[in-house]
Amino acid sequence: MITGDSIDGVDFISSLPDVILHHILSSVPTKSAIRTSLLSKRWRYVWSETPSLSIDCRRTDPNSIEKTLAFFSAPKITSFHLCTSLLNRIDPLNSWIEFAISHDSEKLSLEFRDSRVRDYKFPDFFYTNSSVKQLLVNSGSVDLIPRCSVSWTSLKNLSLSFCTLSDESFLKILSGSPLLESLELLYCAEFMCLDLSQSPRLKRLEIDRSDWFMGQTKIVAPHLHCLRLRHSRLPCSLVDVSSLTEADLNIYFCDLGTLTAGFLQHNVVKMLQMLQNVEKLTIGGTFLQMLSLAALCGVPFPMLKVKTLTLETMIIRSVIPGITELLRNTPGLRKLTIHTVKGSSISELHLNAYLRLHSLNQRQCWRSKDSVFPGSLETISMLVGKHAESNLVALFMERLLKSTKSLETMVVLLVGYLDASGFEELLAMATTLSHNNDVSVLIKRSSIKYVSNTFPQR
Amino acid sequence: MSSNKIVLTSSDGESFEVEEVVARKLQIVGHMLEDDCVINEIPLQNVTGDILSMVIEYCKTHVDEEESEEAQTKLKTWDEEFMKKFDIKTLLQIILAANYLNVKGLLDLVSQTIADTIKDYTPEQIREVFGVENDYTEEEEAEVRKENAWAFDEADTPKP
Repeated sequence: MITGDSIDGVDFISSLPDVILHHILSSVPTKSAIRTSLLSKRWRYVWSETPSLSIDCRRTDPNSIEKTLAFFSAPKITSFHLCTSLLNRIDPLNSWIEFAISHDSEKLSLEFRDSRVRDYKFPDFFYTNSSVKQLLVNSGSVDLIPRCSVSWTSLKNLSLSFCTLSDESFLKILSGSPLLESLELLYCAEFMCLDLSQSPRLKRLEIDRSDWFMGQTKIVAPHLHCLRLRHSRLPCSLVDVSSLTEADLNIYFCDLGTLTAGFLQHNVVKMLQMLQNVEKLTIGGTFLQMLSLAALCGVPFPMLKVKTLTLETMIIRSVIPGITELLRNTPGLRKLTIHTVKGSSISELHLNAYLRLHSLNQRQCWRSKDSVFPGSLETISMLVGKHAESNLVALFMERLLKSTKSLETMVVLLVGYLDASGFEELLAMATTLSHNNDVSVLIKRSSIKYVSNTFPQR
Repeated sequence: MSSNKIVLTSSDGESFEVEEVVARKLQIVGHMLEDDCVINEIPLQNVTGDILSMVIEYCKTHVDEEESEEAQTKLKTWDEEFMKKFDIKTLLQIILAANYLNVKGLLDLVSQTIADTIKDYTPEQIREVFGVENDYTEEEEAEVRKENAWAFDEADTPKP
């Protein structure tokens, strides 16, 4: 934001060429761009040739938007973003989409904010578009059901949030998007199987499954390089991800029954087995807890080629057996990052119930030297004050450093732990750790408080 | 090859010796170098020395754009501080230069800085900050408002 005095009555901005003014107005919402028409005669129609439109018309009369679009005179637009309610505006909505498509919009972003309308279907022409390279649909109510075939011949990035998408629709979309490189499916319902084997260009996949989706998603993606699976209630079944070099995995579970625990711990290890060529791996707290169960039950872990490992977890003792076993099986690890995000975790009571079932004693499992670490969320607040938190973090770091040999760098991104003096204390302890283990240690405070494993508000 | 030096000369005769990799961040220079590899002095007619030095400062900082998150965050912080250094007139001269010299990153950065102001200000405030003189009559102004009434409807403006 520019502040300060105005420029001595010299109107420099109005003398800038239109092309620059359009560039500037491309970065503001269309409503603000239109307001510049009131500045002076020079500015009256500058906005109307801006190649990028961003319209939030949730509370605006659709006729006004129609009128405004009629003024619009750029032959081609690069980006069209629309945020609208669906109530009473199906017809105008279709004509706005048509407007974007007829102006060869390369980026098309549609956000629907009205879950009361559940029967909106995209018109057939929406599915045939040779200009769009980036398509985003964010909706609480829309079924993506192409009744016709799909032809998105330039599409590279597709992001669908809160859409309902059947396996059949998904296949139609994939076969109609031969250039697709990146796919995001966030809180989308219904689909069970993602077969990406016919999409050789598709390198990046991100999935956040909804809370209420109980099935196991099957993923066949031999060409994929980067996979992010966040907030999946169950581990996904990875059938073929042989080209994968980067993975980011977590599951989301709180109320664990013993049967589910068995299923989960079996499947998280199975997922690890599929990551044969992954060099960059990120794992969330709940996933680590399940790895702990597997480790304690003696399930063998696969050898991994991971060089960079990030653990997004709170400092609780139930992640430690999983982490140490994981570290033992990544002999080439160079960089380890601990990000102490607050996320969901499974209560230790549930974990203990499962261990009892396997005749394992929890006291032996959360080994005596790990008992210094808090058990789960509830006990953290009880521990504060009893143990210096800086000491706790340092002990955790030391515990991990002991389990790895090849490490060059350890990074700790702290969230929520430690005040300023505690942080200073930790820095001093880290210097000793670094010296004793011959590893460079970097400690930072992170501003990212939560990872995406809590369900966002609609 | 990267240590090859190029001299850039501004419209007011100021010369800057920079490494070729830096000079190439100015796409106008990049194109000239592709056309003829033996140039080592390039006159830039439409930009004064004081503005050109800012553009070069930007290009030097952005010369190797690392992809790592840390490097990106560092650059972003640098960009923010860099923008704070200038008054509006200088910012507008930089955007003009960035457009002429074709430095896309800088063009986007200054555009965004100016856009952030325009976005949150009323037309009256924008006029004041940028020195724009209102040459509408009252009737004309009413007509402009009427043309796209929804955009001027304050009640509908989402709170930032």
